[in-house]
Amino acid sequence: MRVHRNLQRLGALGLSLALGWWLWQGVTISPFQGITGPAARYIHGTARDTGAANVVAAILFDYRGFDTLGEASVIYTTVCGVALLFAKRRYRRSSHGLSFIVKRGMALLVPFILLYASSIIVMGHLSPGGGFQGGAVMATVTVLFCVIYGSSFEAARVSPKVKETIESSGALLFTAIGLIGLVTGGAFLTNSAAGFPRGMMGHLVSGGTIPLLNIAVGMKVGAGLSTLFYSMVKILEDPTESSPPEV
Amino acid sequence: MSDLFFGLSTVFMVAGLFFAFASVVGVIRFPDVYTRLHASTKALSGGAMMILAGTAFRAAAAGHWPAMVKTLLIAAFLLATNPLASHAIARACYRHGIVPKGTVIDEYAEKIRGDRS
Repeated sequence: MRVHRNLQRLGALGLSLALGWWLWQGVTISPFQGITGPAARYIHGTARDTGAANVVAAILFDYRGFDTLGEASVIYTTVCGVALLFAKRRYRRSSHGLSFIVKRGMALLVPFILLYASSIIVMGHLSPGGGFQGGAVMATVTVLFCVIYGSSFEAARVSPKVKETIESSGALLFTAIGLIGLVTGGAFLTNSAAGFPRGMMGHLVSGGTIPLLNIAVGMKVGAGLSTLFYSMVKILEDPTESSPPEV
Repeated sequence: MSDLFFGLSTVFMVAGLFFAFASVVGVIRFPDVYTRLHASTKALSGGAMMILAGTAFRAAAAGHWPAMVKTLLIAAFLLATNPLASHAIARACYRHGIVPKGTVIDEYAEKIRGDRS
């Protein structure tokens, strides 16, 4: 038994040391060491082709924009399916939420969370982040509302209909921006070749369609994920639960 | 001035490491969920915030004022959220029926009972 315990400790020590070594390698590695093939082409050509400072956003919304439309459609389909599956079962009452301290504290924080999410979406072509990430941060507000204040509060603040409308208009905006490329004679989702201004790299207005597509995807993902969470959480509540004392 | 900031940042970072280490020891050694929660909140309130303050001083020593302000904002966010989260966890544990180890007088339970009756 004791030997077994010691072996476990030795294993844990070895795992910690290996992870630490791995982390140290990541810290000390040189960023441009041995990058070849498509990666090198993207790193060197992004600024010239798209004008976006964030290479990942440029690949996601310019070089591989059509794939991103597919990804966003996957989320859209998922939301439609979940909303359809859970549509029938509705309880009138919602949970009572957490204590007064948490409710008050969260009320002070929620505007800043929304501001942060918007900045992630709008600055998607300049800094790490983008529509998917910012939309996910925006959807956490729904999760917080449902957990802390109860899901009827969430439904009263932002009605599910409005969220569905926002999501659908995000999808429409994405497709419309793609169609502009077709209208000007290029391919679907053409960026700077279709006449979108490339701008100065590092400025807010740069990167052509990339910021617009970021906003579209942000609308879609934010509204979609919050609809997803809301439609699943509203059936988990116990309608017979009595109100807890406020302490 | 920047030497002073650099030294201060090192002091803060070492203190933060101490807090993080102490909270790990506490999470392993303490007997029940409440004392462990007490230890684990120190990892964030003491450890992470001190390390962030050290980072802010280091950024100030290098002259990166925007980075300093951002770091301090992150620290303020942690300061605002960490007590809320640990309060919610502790309250949920108590309402689930976990009694703190070695409790003699439980005024909270009496208060809840008084409210119910």
